[in-house]
Amino acid sequence: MKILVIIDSSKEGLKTSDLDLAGFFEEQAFSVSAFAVGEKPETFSQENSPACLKHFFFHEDLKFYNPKAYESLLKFYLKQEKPDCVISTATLKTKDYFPYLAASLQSPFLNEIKSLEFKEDKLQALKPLYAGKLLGTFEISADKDHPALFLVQANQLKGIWKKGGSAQALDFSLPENPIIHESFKIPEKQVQDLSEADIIVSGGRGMMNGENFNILEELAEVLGGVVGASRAVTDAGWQDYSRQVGQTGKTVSPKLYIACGISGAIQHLAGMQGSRVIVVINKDAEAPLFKKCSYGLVGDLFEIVPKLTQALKET
Amino acid sequence: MNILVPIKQVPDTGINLQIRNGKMDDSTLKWVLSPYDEFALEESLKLKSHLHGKLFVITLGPDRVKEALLTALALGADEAFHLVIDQIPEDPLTTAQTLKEKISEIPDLSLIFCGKLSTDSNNFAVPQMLAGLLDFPFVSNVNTLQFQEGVFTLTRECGRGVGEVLKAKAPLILSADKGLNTPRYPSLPGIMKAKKKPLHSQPAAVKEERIQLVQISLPPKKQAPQILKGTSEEQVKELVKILKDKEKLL
Repeated sequence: MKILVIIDSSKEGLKTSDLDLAGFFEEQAFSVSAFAVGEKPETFSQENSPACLKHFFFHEDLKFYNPKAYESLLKFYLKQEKPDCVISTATLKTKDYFPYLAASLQSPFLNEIKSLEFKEDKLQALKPLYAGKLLGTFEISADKDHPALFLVQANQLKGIWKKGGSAQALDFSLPENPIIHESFKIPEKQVQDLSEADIIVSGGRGMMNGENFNILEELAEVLGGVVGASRAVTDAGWQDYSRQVGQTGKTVSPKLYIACGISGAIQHLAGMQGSRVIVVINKDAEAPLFKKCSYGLVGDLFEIVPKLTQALKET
Repeated sequence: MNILVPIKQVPDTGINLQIRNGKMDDSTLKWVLSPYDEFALEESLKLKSHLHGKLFVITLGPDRVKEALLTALALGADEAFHLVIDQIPEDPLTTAQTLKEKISEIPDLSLIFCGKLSTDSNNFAVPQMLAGLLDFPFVSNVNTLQFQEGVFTLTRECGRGVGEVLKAKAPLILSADKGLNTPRYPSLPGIMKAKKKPLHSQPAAVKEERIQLVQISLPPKKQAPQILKGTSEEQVKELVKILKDKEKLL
């Protein structure tokens, strides 16, 4: 089984979660190679990149996302490399171009899988359905002309990768983008995308208003996490829709999810039950989310959250 | 210039799902239009008058999915296509291919507007796959849209709250994100009219799928919830200790 890991590259460097994925499959003793693609990192050296990194393609134009560019580049590259299976982390970008590539290659594709098993010639993937209310086991048939394409939920498969690359630059001329880039709308404060965050501090109706989210921002900052919200909050305009966790928002799988003043509608639960540790803070001891938490704190969040922030600062 | 909105009927998001005889128990399910499809449909209804065209809707599935098409017709779509198959494909590419066969027959199609994902499989795949199969340019996660003098100006969410403003011309495939609009409800006259609008059903030939669902299960049960005791100070102290020593998160 020949696995190719696609590593996203930006100015900041090669994407950590993609490197972790490569490490994971190497630890499982598969034949793993990696291909880094995107903007050229500010600091990039072959020696410090992973040993499995076979090729890279860095191009200034990839500063602007162009699905056509990724599709034609990877189609070209896959024809040359002939892997059985192509894997990357599920991000807004990969979720966008992987299916496009799959259609172009007539390849099977599954998004947001949790794990992958190889049994003789068959690939088996575990994937949450209905935003995590159920789990499906899928069997995928792939071949060298139609490699299976998978995107793995962030934070699910991690391993340690070895340094010491001798990667080669790939030569390819990018197609033009039929869509014209105009500008970026950048918010005052840029935060990590929820679906990739390790720690999320989320607020619900119990926050009372948008201003009160300050205390969650402070807690998130101490923890190195980001702030999320329930649907009631985004519908009321207290937070942007990009912060919504739930069935009609983002599905998240952080290591730690702290829910403040969220009663726990089933749609919200569906979006966050993949979190490893769930902490619930709510003054209503009957809030349904307490049944699904790892640790529950019954009390006034306006009292508990600042105390928690303070205690963490002192740790 | 005609518009097409591919839609999907999904179980109501507010329902707890159960398993019976190794399959999802769908005997008690309430079926609804996938929430993101409502945004695509609403935006297309607004665009329809600017484009001076017809608004088509299409779906595939067993008899029950007609209900979703009727909802779309009641909201203002002009004509509906129902591709009849017993089982909704597990492979999004099979879905896209089946839809593509029919879509290729629709004349003067300038815009295909999809929901960014369906809330059942969450694959986020069919719109981009249609773009690949039909060789149309596409933009996903659209949350603002304007149409003027033949040019679409739109914003897509590209993560971290950043929006990218783009310009594009038809033919085009778009997928709708939340925040694009507030979908309307069907009106009573709309519902009455829908019954008279054309709804074409035809059998669909589905290719062999490369992806099979072999087992469905409930997510693994987590440890029982632990409710911390004491004053808020004591609870906080206990929580920090747990996060640090037991969960090793700090």
